[in-house]
Amino acid sequence: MTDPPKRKVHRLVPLALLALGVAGMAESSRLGLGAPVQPGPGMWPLLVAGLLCIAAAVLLFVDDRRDYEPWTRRSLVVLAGLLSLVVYIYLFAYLGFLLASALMLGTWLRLFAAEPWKRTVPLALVGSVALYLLFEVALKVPFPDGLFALAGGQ
Amino acid sequence: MSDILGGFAQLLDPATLLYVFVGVFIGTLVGVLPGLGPTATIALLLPVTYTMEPAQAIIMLAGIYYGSMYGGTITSVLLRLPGEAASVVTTFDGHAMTKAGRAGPALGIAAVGSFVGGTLAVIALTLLAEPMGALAVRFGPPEYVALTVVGLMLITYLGTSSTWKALAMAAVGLLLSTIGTDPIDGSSRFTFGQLSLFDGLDFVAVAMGLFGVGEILHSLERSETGQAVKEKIKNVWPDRKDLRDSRGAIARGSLLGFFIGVLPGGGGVISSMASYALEKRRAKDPSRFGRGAIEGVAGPETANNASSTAAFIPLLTLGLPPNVVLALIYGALLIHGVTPSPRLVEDHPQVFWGVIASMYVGNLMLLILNIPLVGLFVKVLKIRQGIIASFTLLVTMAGVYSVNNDVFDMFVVVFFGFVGWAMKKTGFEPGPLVLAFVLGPIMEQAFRQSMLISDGSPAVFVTRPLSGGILVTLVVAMIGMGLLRRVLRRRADTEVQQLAEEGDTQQPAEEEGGEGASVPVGQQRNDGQQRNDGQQRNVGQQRNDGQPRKDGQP
Repeated sequence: MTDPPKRKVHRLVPLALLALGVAGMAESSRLGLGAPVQPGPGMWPLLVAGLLCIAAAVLLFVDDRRDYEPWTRRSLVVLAGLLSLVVYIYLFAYLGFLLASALMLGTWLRLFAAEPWKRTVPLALVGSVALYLLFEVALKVPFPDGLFALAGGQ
Repeated sequence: MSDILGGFAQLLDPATLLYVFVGVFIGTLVGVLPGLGPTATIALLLPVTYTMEPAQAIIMLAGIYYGSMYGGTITSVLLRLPGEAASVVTTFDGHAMTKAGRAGPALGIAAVGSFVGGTLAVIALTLLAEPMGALAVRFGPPEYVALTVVGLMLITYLGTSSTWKALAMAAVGLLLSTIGTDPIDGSSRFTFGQLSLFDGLDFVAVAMGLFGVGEILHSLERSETGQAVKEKIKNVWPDRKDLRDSRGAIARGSLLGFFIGVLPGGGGVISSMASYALEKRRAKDPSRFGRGAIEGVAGPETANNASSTAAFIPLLTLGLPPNVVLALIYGALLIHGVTPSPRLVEDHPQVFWGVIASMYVGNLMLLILNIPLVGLFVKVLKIRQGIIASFTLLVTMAGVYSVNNDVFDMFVVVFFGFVGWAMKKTGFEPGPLVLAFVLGPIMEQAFRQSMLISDGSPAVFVTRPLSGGILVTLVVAMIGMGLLRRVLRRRADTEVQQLAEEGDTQQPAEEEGGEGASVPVGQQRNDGQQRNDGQQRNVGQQRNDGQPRKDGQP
């Protein structure tokens, strides 16, 4: 079993959960707890956040370091993938489904799947058109029009 | 009896029949594909079900679930790659049969066993449905609190990650479910002024993010290549001797799978392991196991299908999802305005009996279709994972937008995709979180009503005979299942180790597995989830061995 490089890093996760629990409890009590006979909006979240605090506090001590995967260079690929998804959402809103999807499919196929261009381009084009037909035409999802509307698509 | 006939009558509608087919077909496909399990698939397809009738939606999703149980068999037998977790034990004898040139009968007996197990479980479901429903209508709010607590506790206790981690995730799920407008006094909670949060987080977006995007991101991190099947598959129908040899295993597998499936936290993995252990124990010559004993394929495959069918009993009769896949189906029902509860059979008989009837037909379809289609399914394995991942991401984004036509939900998916990936990296399971997210609102409402009934005394949960009884059952079940699981896991571990050792001496590691077998050491532990369990030589020494952590199959 390979050891993760830093010994204490894995304690950060229970700490973050504990912080979330404490914040949850604070916000719940602000919401109003009500009386036991008629619990207010904050009562249930308070109980739940309390449960989270207990579990997180225990995890601070019992969490098994072997549960944690090492971070590798490929973890950066995943972060890049996440970032590209955020970019996609903005493109989707401003360029419309078809254009944004073709661009993103192309990027993902080339970068993440490492497909050669001769397969990337046709797959991206055919794929985005096929999904456009499926969602917009067949399932009647009103996608943002974007630039496609200017091109006379709608 | 006329009720079930009504269910069958629905299947006369060609559209409904088509959904059964689409469900089992997609299910088989994702069962074959390592990396995309039934949980992720059902999560990704939730938006597609919006346009369907509730009964049709559930019929299709159910088909995906039990179809995937069969699909996982195909790659286990042919390539020693369990496409989903419940099929890990099938690799032991199934792949040995393939090497002996008996891939056909291995697949055939698995199909027959799955059909028998699934069908027997449906019959039991049909018979049990009404009495269970009749008992359940006597439940009041305290009973619901007790039941949901039981469901959550069993899932966290019996899940594959550490109990405390699962409990923490369940708490996060409960907390997330309180975001939005308070159901009783209408004040807004944890919305931080965000208009899009007033209705709470969308279940579909959360599930798609955690399971769909999270899983894809996690698979991006590992580089994997396509697989090719070299063996020719012939004589798929098992001969008379095969059938005679596996008759007992199929019967025992059906029973075992059924009972484990009904229990919360049971599910496919435990039932197939239990069946394998049982068959090996009963065998006159246990040394045949791991070398192509047909009972070692027939028993577990029967058991995992029986359990995936039986898992519908708590959902359809009590309104409680016993595992994550059923929690997603629960969510799908809510989307359609159908709240699963003991009243389901009365209020929505078309959903209730339609799903049950569809299972008879779906199991039959799997039996008839899968055998000739095996060749087609294994071709799918040649498609590279990167291509599948790219397209799945796109479908996810388009799909989640289509739910509310709101770009905000797309951000929610990406956020929970990140969370899901980070959870996998840190050994947390998304299953309890999603289940808690679904159960949260019901729990809260029932809790607040109970407190009203009892004049603010929390003793009500223990003093009422029904809810008290449920809680006592919980304690007993936790102890019982915990012990059972410990025994099974230990036994499976030693067995896997033995098999691995035997495998080592019998043949060198390079011979098998092709490209999939070479995985850098640092990645082994995680990959063990599905691809490598059967392939690694040192499986027995690892923490997850023989018991892969696939979220859909707690």
